[in-house]
Amino acid sequence: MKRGGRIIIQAREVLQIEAQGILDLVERVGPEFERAVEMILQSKGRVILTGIGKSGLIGRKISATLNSTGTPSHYLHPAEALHGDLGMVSADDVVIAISNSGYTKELIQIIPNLKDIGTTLIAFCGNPESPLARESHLTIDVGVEREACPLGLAPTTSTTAALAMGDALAVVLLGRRHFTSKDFRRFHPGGNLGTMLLSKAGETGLLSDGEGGSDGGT
Amino acid sequence: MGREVLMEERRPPKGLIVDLVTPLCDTGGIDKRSLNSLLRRALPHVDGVLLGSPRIGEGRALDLDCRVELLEHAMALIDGERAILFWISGESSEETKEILSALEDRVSTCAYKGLVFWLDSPLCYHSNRGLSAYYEKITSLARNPFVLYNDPGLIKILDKALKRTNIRTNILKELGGMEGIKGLVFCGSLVRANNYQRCLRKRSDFRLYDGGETRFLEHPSMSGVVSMGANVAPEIWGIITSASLGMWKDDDPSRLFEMGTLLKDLLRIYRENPVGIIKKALYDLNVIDSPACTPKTEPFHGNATPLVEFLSHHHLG
Repeated sequence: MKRGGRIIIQAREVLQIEAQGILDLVERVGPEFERAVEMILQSKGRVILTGIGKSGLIGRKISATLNSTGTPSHYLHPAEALHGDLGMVSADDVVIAISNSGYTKELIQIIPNLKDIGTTLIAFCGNPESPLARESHLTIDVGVEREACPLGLAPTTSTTAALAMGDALAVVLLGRRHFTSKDFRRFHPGGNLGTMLLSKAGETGLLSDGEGGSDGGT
Repeated sequence: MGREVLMEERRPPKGLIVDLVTPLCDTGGIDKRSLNSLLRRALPHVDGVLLGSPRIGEGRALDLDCRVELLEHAMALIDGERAILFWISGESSEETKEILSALEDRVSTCAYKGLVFWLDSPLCYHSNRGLSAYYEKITSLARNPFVLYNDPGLIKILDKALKRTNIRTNILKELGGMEGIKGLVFCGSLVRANNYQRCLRKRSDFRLYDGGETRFLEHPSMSGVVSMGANVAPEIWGIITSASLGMWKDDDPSRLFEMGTLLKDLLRIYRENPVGIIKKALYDLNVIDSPACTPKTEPFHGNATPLVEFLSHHHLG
């Protein structure tokens, strides 16, 4: 087989596996997801994303999406949390902890402190029997059947699945908060989309007040 | 009611299932001492043991008495420490039911408390047509749950005029809804693996093991793998499986990469004739007392020196 042929086959396999990982989540969105949305809507605080490694990076992206779609959020590094950053968490906040295995040591370590503060804890986790899932108020199942990367060298499908679930959460919250284009302009003045929104405010049909929406990236 | 609870509680393990060679005496019976030696070597590193499988376990050539003897010895040696998967398929539905009945009786007689799953390759003796009705019946006859085994390569080598070599996806969807069926060992294309996965989505407790070692080493299933190589290198297979499932934390990822490459090299050495080569290597390493195979097994006239040298070189022997 030609080298180029194998490269393309391999790349397609990875995309198929990751796409399948997201599609598998569709059936699993149920009452827990609804409860998570209600918990966040009812909280007076912020949504705090936490996780380490690739899951931490996914947490940062979900936090950014929540911020730009009307849900105040920030990221908390679990290791820094133990060295003072827990001060940014209050009882009114909802913490979303991301870990595919549910055994991430740094996350497990901060759970007693989060409980002590009295915050609500939601797990994005692939293992419902793990310590993280057991200790959380609610677990959103983001487990996948197959990773695209061999030997556990880097999480691939599992982080994609967590990211997609985070997007689902942000978009549902956006709708429930009656987020408007005016709100979006306020949070997103930069980039191509911000410029377009500022110059065409009130004229464009891209985001109509009361309908909500999300950008295509800037 | 009591039986239903039992079925619900019994879930096949996640992780590494060793597809164990069947150690035979030169006279043909099960070699209990060698079985003990094999199990003691593998058990600390595996999550389950597959016995009498159709390929490396030579299950197609083991008669009923031999199968019962193998299960009985294995239960005594494993003693609930790890899950047992036992291949039960016969040449026909009737023969499979007969095998199942004899094995179920032996589990009951021994009052075995550990997990036992019946591994069945239905397309070896039954077409896709009527398969759901067949499993409704056969699972109702069993006290222990089933794991299915889909291996198109196995069906092809059978001397039968079979139209299909895979369980049809819509049939699997029906089978996946049965409480008595807990998982599937899958060999085949990635496209079919995705289709199967899609049809089993609603069953979050269902295990979908990789039956092919190469597939697992490239794109691992999060249920785990059924491995022949774990007969000779159980520790490394255990580490690689744990790492692939995100359960192994190593400070040095390059070590994992090296171990993965090593397992691929190992696979290349034995894949031509896994039963013959692995048995001969285990015999040369004094793990089993005889490299004897069943008369129906493809003869191996070569020597297992490359495998033994490879294992010794990497301190795996």
